[in-house]
Amino acid sequence: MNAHGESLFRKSLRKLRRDRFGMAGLAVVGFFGLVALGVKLGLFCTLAQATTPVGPQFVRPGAAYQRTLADGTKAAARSLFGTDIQGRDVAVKLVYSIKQAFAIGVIVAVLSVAVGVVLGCISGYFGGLVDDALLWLYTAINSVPFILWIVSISYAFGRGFTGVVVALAATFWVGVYFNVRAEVRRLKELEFVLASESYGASKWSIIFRDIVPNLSHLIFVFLSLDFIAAVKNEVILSFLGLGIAGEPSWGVMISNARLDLLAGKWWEVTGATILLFVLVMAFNMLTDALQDAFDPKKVG
Amino acid sequence: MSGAPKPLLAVRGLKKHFPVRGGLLKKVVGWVYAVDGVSFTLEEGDTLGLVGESGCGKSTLGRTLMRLYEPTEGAIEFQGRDIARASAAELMPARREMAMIFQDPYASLNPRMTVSDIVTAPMSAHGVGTPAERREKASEILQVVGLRAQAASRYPHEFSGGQRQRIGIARALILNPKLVIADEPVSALDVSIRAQVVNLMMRLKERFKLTYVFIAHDLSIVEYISSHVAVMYLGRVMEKAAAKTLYASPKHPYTQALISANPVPDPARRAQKQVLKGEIPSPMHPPSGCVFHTRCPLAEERCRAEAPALRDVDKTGTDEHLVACHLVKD
Repeated sequence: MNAHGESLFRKSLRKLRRDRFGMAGLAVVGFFGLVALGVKLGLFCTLAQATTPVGPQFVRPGAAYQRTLADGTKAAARSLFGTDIQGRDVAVKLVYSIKQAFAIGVIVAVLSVAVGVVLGCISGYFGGLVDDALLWLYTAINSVPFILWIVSISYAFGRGFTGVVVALAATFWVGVYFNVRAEVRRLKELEFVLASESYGASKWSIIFRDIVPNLSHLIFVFLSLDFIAAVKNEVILSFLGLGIAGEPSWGVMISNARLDLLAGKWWEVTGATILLFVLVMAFNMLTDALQDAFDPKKVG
Repeated sequence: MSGAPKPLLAVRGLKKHFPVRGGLLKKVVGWVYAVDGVSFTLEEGDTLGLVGESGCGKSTLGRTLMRLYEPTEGAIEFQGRDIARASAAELMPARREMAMIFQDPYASLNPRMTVSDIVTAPMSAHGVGTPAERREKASEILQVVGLRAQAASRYPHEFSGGQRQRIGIARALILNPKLVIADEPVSALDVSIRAQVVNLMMRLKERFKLTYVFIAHDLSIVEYISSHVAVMYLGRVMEKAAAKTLYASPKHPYTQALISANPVPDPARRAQKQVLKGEIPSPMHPPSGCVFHTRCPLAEERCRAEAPALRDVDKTGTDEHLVACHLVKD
């Protein structure tokens, strides 16, 4: 059955492929990712389209209206998901926001995991004063509610994409750091690391050949978890008026439309919430599957 | 001893104490006296069996000899040079000449590396050979330890415990070391596999002219493989002699108790079984005087006050028989 010479990594991938929920999650995430890529490449739903009014305000989803086309002429059209208070197409804004979510999710996840893994390895493997200092930093950051850090850092950076990304990455790395540190401390007492020391392998060779490859389960799971957390926190920041400015995003849409809801204009909030829910749900399913597939205690 | 060849390994007064930290500021609140003044010599070609109950410090001793732990005190003379205080760079030549076999074959091989990369890692660490030469050496050494050359391209999880231990042995031997420290190499294996691995180790010893330090708690295996045996208790050597002498006429009360507790397929001998009372005292608070006095059936006042030195009680003049006990007559 099993191919000979199959690495644990390939074995994990094989296990992941057999996980139906995981693969369903991956399909949804992949679809969202392709859409995000298309928007990024300017194939559809450009920023201009997402910010230009196309008709009267608050057209209901599915209603007929006079749509203003790109050349300024008007044509009869049927609305897909309505328009917002300024007459912009909600469907276009929703799709454009997928790109925003992916940009924030991917950048924050990669940054926080990279910083967390590097510092976790240094702290866990070398110990001593460096470990004490980093652990102190971890405790200091961790002893204040995350949302306060995120709010104050993004406030300091000013409203906008960079502020959100820096604020989220600067708080998320600590979770990665602490888990990686614990795993490194466990790994370095294992006999295969002692064996490497016994024949005089260098510290760097031990870190890169013995330790980092055995952290892959943590790396995948945290990439996925931090992506979700970043997307959700962007919504909260934008809702508080500290998030993205000048461009649509799910958070901005939910924030803008909270007053509309009282007037019975439900579609902007609902659309953003549903897409957020679907993406987060799919990512959660993928995270669970990654955890199962790459956990070294379950593969082997 | 004059005129005798220099021992391959001479250990003098070796101590390894681990600090116990507690409180908010992680102050040292006590010490674990894991290895507390061990001395012995090992001639080239001999096999020294190190036995003792779990927690007696035998594994710590093995790891300290390999400088996986920093010795607290004492000297480790390997090939005439003290390596107890050598820096990592100064240790490199010695690290080529000594190798370790580990206890747990499931933890001692990196699960993310191929068997070929695992067994040739010591070559890479010492810059020996080109990648092609290393691959060739890997398939050669795998066959020597009884695996197929094709095993090289596989991963550890595709092998059984016994096969994994063979991979660990191949890794230990790939640089042709002089001294191999085997830390309970068979105690994690199925009983049916143990004899195979021990026999393999004995064949390899002949073939590669190896010297072993064989750490174990199984007295029968130690008797089988060792030329000399040292019995440890609470970080100290209680008795050391040629294996035959030690098993035939143990002098120390602790050794006598250990040997009588070892099951022997002889109903007549069952009656003489001596059972030790009590637990091993904590190595954080070793007893005064002779560390064994709390459990010794023969202990006297002197044993509680004064620690006995390890002295030679051999009468035949052939080999030393060292015992650390006040009550054994010269």
